[in-house]
Amino acid sequence: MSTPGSTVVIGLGCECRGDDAAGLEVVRLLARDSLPPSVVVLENYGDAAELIESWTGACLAIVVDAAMSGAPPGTLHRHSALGLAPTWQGSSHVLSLADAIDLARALGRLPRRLLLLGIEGEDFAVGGPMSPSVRAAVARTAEMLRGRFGGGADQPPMR
Amino acid sequence: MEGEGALLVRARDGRVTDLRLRIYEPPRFFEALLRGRHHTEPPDITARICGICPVAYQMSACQAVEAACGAEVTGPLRDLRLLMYYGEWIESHALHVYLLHAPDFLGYESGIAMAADHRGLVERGLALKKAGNVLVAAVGGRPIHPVNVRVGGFYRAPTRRDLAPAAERLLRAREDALATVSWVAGFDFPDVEHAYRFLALRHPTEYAILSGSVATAGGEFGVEEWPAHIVEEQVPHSTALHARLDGVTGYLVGPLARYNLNHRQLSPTAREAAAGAGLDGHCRNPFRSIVVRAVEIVHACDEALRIIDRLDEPDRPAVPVDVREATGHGASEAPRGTLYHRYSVGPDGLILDADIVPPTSQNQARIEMDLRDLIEPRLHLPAERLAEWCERAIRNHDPCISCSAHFLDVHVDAR
Repeated sequence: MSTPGSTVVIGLGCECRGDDAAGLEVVRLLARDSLPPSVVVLENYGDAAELIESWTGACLAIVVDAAMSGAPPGTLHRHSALGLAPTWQGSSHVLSLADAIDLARALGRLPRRLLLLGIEGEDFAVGGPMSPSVRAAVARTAEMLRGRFGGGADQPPMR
Repeated sequence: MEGEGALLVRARDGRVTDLRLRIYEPPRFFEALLRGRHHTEPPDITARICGICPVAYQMSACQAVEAACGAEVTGPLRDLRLLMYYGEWIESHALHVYLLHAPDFLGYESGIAMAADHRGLVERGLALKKAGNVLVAAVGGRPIHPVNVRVGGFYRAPTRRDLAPAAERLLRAREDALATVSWVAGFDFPDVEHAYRFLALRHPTEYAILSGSVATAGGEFGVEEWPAHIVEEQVPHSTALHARLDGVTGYLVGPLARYNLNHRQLSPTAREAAAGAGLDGHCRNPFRSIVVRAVEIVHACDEALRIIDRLDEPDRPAVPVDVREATGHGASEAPRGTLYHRYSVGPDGLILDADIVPPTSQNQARIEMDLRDLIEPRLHLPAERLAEWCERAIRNHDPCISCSAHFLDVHVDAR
């Protein structure tokens, strides 16, 4: 459970399915640098219940996941959870991100604001490497988040 | 991807003429992936097969490799493995009972819909699951896809202090689990019984979870004899193989099998809870598997607490495992049933051949038989209602596809 007023950044994915690891890689890059104390960075391997636990009480939760919408690989999708795009429906995870959001809403455990960043993937094959375009997008996304947090002010990264 | 499944039912003149459950099954891909990899890699690689039961894959894999190499993990290291496995049972069963199975009995299309009306109940289910997560993370390093497991033991053995927070949660979880048994025992169960042939591991001193011989109603055999008794065959409509036990198709693994074969070895509290829930040592109604799962959560909490209480910290995190050219067999009880691994290791420590038999492929033929029995008397129902019955019949056995609760694609063609 997050501290009230805090920001939690959650990388979601499976590290053995090629581009599905994009969200995990973003938060791993982000965690390499010092972040403001109110920013918590977490990895999640597809556990919807743990996701709800992680963002409960947070002022802002940012979930970074791989997406599959038909857009060019490496495209960064941004959505508010209030209007979850079909991009995230039918996730390969046990209960999908959409399920976690709906369940959290039913339980009154959504964070005050929830932002979803989806990196369009290309290859989700078991045991495969991350595609070059997705790897580049991972670096760009981590850099963007770091830039927003790095200034010291606990500003939301984007609106 | 755990969640891909489809069911085709064709009926003519009140008889089911064709029934095909199609399940996408990733372990076959992993068997190929494992060939040529180092013998230390299967626990990590196979843990990725299932997001729900990675510990089961790790434990069966470790034991098969250790058997090949002539190593044995005993004492406190084995206790730590048991602890992690109990954590996975709690995680998996809590998720299935509360978010996947209970909605069927209470008339909700999903756990999410149920949460709107029964917030307290779903919160209790999530708290239970969290207790399992905490236990797996305390031993395995993280709650899903644990990273601390290695052939021979662990990379780092947790201390008693590391386990204290998990023990605190387990005390509460045991109370929640007992309340869960009482809750689900009160559901309205369809009056259905099947003549199941059960298969589960059996251990001399435990309600088998981590290891044991293979038990059926007809006797027991050693895990190394698995290939002589269990034969898998390809069926055209599924990537999952159908398993035959001693030449006969359609046996059942999972909670019902464990309970029927080994119920006397449940912890006293779990036995008492089972009796209070109306279970008398025999249960052949698949809808009541939700009660058995709840009883197994009680048992897992009980046993985990007992192990933590008596645990001696191991003097080393792993036993040495020396490579030798051999074949090893390992099996354990995943939450949804017996999971068997076999590895042939070459003199250089590389894997020559791998065989993984997951519970879902063992149960698939039996689930199809359940479906036929259930559907035929109900063919007069509207297609939508019939599809609901099909989904329920499948979910009773918690196959991998049930992870995607209502993603199952059901086609009913009844004339």
